[in-house]
Amino acid sequence: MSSTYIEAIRRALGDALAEDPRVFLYGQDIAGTFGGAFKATKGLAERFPGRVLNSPISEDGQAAVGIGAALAGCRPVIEFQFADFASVAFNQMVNHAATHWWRTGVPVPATFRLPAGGTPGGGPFHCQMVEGWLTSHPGLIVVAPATVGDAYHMLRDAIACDDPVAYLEHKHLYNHLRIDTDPSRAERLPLGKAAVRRAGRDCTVVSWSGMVHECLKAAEPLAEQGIEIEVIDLRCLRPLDTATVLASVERTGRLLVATESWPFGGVAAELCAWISEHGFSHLDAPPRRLSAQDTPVPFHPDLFRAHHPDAARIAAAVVETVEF
Amino acid sequence: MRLPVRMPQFGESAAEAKVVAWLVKPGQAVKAEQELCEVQTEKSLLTVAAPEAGTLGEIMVAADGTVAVGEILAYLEIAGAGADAPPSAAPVAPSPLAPPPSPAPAPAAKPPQKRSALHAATGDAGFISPRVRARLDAHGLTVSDLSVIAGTGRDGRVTAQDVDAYAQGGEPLTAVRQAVAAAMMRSWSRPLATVAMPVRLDPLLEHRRTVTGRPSLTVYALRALAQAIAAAPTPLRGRLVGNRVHQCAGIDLAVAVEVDDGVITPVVRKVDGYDLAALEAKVSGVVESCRNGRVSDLGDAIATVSNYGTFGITWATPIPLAGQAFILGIGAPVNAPEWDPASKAFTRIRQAELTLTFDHRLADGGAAGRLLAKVVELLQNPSRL
Amino acid sequence: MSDHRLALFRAMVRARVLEDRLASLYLSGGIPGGSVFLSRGQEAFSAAAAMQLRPGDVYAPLIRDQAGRLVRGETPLDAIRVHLGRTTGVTRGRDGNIHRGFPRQGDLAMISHLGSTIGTVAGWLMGLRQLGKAGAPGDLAVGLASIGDGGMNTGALHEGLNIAAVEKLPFVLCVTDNQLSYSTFSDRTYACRSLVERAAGYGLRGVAIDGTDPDACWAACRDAVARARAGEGPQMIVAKLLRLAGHGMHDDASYVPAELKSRFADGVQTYEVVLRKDGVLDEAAAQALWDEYRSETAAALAQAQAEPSPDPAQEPWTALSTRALA
Repeated sequence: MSSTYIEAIRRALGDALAEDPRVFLYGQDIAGTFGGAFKATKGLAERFPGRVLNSPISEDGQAAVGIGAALAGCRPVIEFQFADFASVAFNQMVNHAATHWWRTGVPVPATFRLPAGGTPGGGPFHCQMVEGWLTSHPGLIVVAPATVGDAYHMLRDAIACDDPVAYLEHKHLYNHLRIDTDPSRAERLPLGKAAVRRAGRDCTVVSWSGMVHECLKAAEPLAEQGIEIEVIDLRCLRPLDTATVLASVERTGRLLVATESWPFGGVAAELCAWISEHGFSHLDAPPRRLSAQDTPVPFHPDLFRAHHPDAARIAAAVVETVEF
Repeated sequence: MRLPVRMPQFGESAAEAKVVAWLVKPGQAVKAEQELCEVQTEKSLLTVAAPEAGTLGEIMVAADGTVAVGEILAYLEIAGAGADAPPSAAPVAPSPLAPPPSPAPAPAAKPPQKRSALHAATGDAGFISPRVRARLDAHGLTVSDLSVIAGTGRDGRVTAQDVDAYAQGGEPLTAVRQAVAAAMMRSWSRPLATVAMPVRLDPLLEHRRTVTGRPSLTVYALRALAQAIAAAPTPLRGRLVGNRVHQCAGIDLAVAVEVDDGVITPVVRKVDGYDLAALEAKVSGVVESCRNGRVSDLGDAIATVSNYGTFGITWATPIPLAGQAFILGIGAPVNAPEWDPASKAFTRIRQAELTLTFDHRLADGGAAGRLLAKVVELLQNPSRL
Repeated sequence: MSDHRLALFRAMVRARVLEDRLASLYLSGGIPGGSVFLSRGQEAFSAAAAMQLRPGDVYAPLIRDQAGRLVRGETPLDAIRVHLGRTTGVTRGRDGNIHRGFPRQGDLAMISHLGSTIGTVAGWLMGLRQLGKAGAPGDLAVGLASIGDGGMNTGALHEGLNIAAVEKLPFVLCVTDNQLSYSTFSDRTYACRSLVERAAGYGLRGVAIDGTDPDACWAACRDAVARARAGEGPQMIVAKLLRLAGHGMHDDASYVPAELKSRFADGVQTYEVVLRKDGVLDEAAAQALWDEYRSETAAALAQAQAEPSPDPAQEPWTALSTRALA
């Protein structure tokens, strides 16, 4: 059995629906035979009648429904059609869901699925990596799987988690990433732990979601030059597994964080600041961010490709950091 | 001319499509934007249309076949040109994010021409990374040690591994030497200066025959120094702590004693309370104890007396201990000529150099010189001791 | 008939006494932060609505629902503890004044963003359906949410209310048109003649009532909740009245003209007169009732004031309930 990233998501949703009667799905265009803008829920409405529900174009309302249903005892999975549109639900996620346990002692076990990340031609409102504004608020868990196995397990873990979880799924990985095994049998790492995807001694390269694969791609030609990078996939962006990154930087003395998101603030900035603060005496070079351009995501494929880091730019930045 | 018809990127996430049916047969003329074939993507059933007018040539992916985005579906024969279009005529760009197993494009393998602004600001020479600093600290090294470490980093820069390799070479320092080294480093962190003056020893050498136990030169010097300190106030009796001077209450003086692999400095309390014979007995006892490994008192003292002359050294600048303001050194006695104005000739005398190395923050050369001159005067008039 | 009228009056007086005490405490510096928000003039509608609910229903009160909260089982001690930020309060000093609730039993803890709880109540009811706990028509679990003329203009309200309508939920929206969004009169906040006109746009059944008339409030709420419980879908009640206080105790409401105030009676006072005229209550019983709640509030305040304030050093400072991730 083989599985793409989107099939792993569909499989996780189906398994969760089958195993837990508290689970239901609510989102735009997800029901009927259509099965969602990206087909994540294709076939599920037929398999689970009444448990896969179409919503109006009302992201705030969808999130509110998720919060209410979670408080009523359900494990709702709210699908936003694009992560970009989740900004409409920002208030519900960060002010309502994320503060609830802290204020009242009652957690909100809602899962918000956010199809994120760039695809050529998507433009400013269909390509955003939105972890920057989600991770700055306490009380919300933010995950961004980079592998087919993680796409499955982290969605199951998100649904099982008592706290609200924003699950950022990378649209480009949907059909471009495939494994030849059953994703539910893939290695299952605990929620909140980063994974070392490639061991190396010369430079720690941290990324998440789609950018992990660019980092892995950059590793091969760098190895031919004698530079061995250690590639860390953060997996979970909030909370951030700083211990794994620090342990790696302790070995390598160098840190590069590659992100598809914007340079100002955000996870890359946070990680570089944290390592500078807590791992200063391990550093041989300044921790470095490699981010997208500080503009909205452009439409034209040539501009789009120049907007965010790729393997070549990651490799060049690694060389600069190693030679610093 | 043959124009390739490629599978377009339909939708944000599609990677491939299945050809459902061809709507046009090879050899058939087509208009621009005429529908050529139906394809089923993950999301939808859509049609691929002709990019230009022409004749449908070879079909590369038959019905039921799967085609990746960007791959050639078929060729169009375009009138008027003989040669094939270059393959890059209308390629759909390869996806910037491919799955890991796919072959990787070669990234910029060469080091960049321009270094980052931050790099330029720190400069190449003398850059010590936080990691290298931490390794130096861990090994008890200082930045000055870097000059003797062979660097294997860029432009010969010393790396953390170089520091580790350097630090792990050689033999470990004994405990005594580590203590001496640490004490000397602490002391060396302040400005030290030395004054010197010769002392005529003949009266002293005569005098010691008359004293019980025949006191050593060191004992004479201790006694003379104690009396000099008691006779007139000197800033060198103090000890500088921050910006405040702490005065030593009693006239406590240390003696430098060589032991295996180092020097220790036992203290004799209230030296001014002993006459020469008693002091000789006291110092002999202390030295004996030290050499037997039993250290009596290593506490605070005003200064130390070091008779480096016992090694044949005539002149040296020993370093005072960190908690003391100065050290009095005694050089080896030598024969020296002295001009005798009565006989108008040189006569042979016994003479030694006395040195006084002091904390220049507390006192200047004048004060140090006056103290030393008093000691010399007393030693040259041993009956006053 | 008279049973529910007396109970309604009791709830109104109990809220009034409690809030008056909190107000005087605020003015004497006894509230550690924020403000005290009074429901003066709105007690009847709030109490009448909550009195239609039963265990298993969902209730989303808003700023001026002290009466409804007490009807639902909150005690004056609960309210005072949160106002004082005591560790014994349900928010343990982490949140104050009106941002409190008992979410486990269906009494939501509002956030300050108006309209946010509308979709939440809808989601709760959808959740009950998923869990098979929604009940059968005639016996459906009902969700009741409060909103004001101000909150009626938020996007969140629109999205949530539309979802409730689309899902045909047993949902009752109690709109208190007190004519003021803080200091802004409703001529600057909506342009329809009455907010009840909006009901048709959502596909709801809507009624408009005089919010100063407790009996009218009771009748409308009883009817709306019964219809929702029967499966007739979402209901909207728009009660017109005037906020007889500032936005909070920090606000003297000097922007409200005296002439306007003179046109709106205080329901607590007028209802006491009506009930005495109707023989539901005599003077002695009325006095006894006020005295009972004054001593109840005084005792609660004394207890809460003796209880501890939170110790920052003991605060775990994590916003995640998942221990492994906190």
